[in-house]
Amino acid sequence: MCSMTAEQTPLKTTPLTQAHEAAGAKLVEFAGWQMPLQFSKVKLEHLATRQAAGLFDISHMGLLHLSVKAGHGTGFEANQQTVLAALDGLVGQNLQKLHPGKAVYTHLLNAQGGIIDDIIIYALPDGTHLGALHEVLLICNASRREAVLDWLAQQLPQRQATVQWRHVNDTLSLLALQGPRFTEVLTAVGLHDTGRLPKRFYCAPLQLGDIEVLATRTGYTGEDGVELLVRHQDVLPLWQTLIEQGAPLGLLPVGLAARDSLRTEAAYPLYGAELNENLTPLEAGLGWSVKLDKPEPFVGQAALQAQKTGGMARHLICLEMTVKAIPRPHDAIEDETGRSLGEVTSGCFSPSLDKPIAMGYINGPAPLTLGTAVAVVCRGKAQPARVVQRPFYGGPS
Amino acid sequence: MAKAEDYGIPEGTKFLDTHEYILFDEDSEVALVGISHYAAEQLGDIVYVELPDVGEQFEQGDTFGTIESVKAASDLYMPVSGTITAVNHILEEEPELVNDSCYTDGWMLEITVNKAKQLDDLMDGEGYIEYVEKAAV
Repeated sequence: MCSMTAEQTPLKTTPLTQAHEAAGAKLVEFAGWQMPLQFSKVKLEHLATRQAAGLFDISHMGLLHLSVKAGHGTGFEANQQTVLAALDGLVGQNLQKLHPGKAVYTHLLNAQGGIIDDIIIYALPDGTHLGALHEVLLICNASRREAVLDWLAQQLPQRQATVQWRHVNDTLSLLALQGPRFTEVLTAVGLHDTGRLPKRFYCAPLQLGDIEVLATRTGYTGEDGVELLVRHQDVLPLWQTLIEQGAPLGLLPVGLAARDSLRTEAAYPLYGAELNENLTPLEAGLGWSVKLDKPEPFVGQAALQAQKTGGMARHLICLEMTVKAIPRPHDAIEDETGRSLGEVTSGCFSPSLDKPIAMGYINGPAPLTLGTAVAVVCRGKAQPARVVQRPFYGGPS
Repeated sequence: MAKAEDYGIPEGTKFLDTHEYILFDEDSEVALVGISHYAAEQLGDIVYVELPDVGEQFEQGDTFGTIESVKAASDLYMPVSGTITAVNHILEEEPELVNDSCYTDGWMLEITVNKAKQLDDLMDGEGYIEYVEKAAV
């Protein structure tokens, strides 16, 4: 069976790592961080998030704050527009549509339209938040933070020399509270007026008891919920009170393992699996997030336009297994005659559907029709599967 | 040295180096087969166990099934040659029993042992603990 290898370099920890360890969580290395894989049972954590609420420590996510250099500012809204205008040429979404409090999911693209990272850009509400944030926040994958910083350093100065950026992971933590009972949990920890909660893909400062947070109505589980930015010194009491007050409502702390099965059910892509620098958002089925007709030209636009008109070499599809074998990344996808079609990128046993599911890329100009019977070669054996609608769980993505 | 009982290993249990165990009852010549607690811990939460049919025969070292956890899949190997007399169908609904109680409710196979002498090739509980402790270093 498998063996674990020891880590060579010291891992980064979050302000909660010790508490996770003390709570008996199984910790693993993820993108250079020591993170909880699971606190109890992966399936229980997954289902708690679907049925009640799940609490995640995602402080490893790259938190980048972008602003206008001192001495160049001309007021909050103008500064925010300056930063957004500089970023607008690097992403597929139209950042001119953002306004204070609004966020958007998008991609940093290279000239070939390949994905440097999938990110969320937040046009922050007016004011200074958590002593560190105003103007624009960019959240990227932990595994891509260096690549994102390199790309910004290469691209931004030539676009807008007055924009500066720094990562704020040394002062701020990020929690995710997800699931149908998240509002009740927030009320239980001291949110007085649920009317202050931001709408989907908006962010707003909130007071939870005596703790100040910046709440964003975003997440990566397929459930409604919030992500909470909080100062390092406040994150342990906040985590503890959320666990204590949330427990009677069915809340569980959730680790990376269930985070992965939750995002897979929601058919959300994972960088390194469904996304990389050689794959485009169109191939990944994320065409909705690319506005080819937006006013500002952007890096990768020509390549994506060519792909849209000329056709794509591959397509991301969703598969449901008709047997219990679980597809794993790089398992071959074949047609019924054994001809190779492509490869699995993510697979898991879906606790919500009680069957194995997978995503993968199919080579060729046309996607497969829903319901098409295929096979996934799991550990040398072709196992039957069929093409299903995206996402596996929840509404349209 | 660590005692096998401290690890919840029933007396008389023998192990393969691939972490399958066999608990042989000399009177009935029937044995239970499963995987060790250490192996279950290494695999993480188990979500599926594929087991053979009753009546199938296997030689020592043959693959008799597959175990899938949230993070990996692994083949299961026969500790000795034998014929399947029962499989633990409860694992189809509750595979997590392998994590919770691998030596009791989480058993996988009941077999009749064809060559009892093969049991001598296997590690006993204390030998197995020493083996996994070495592997962990």
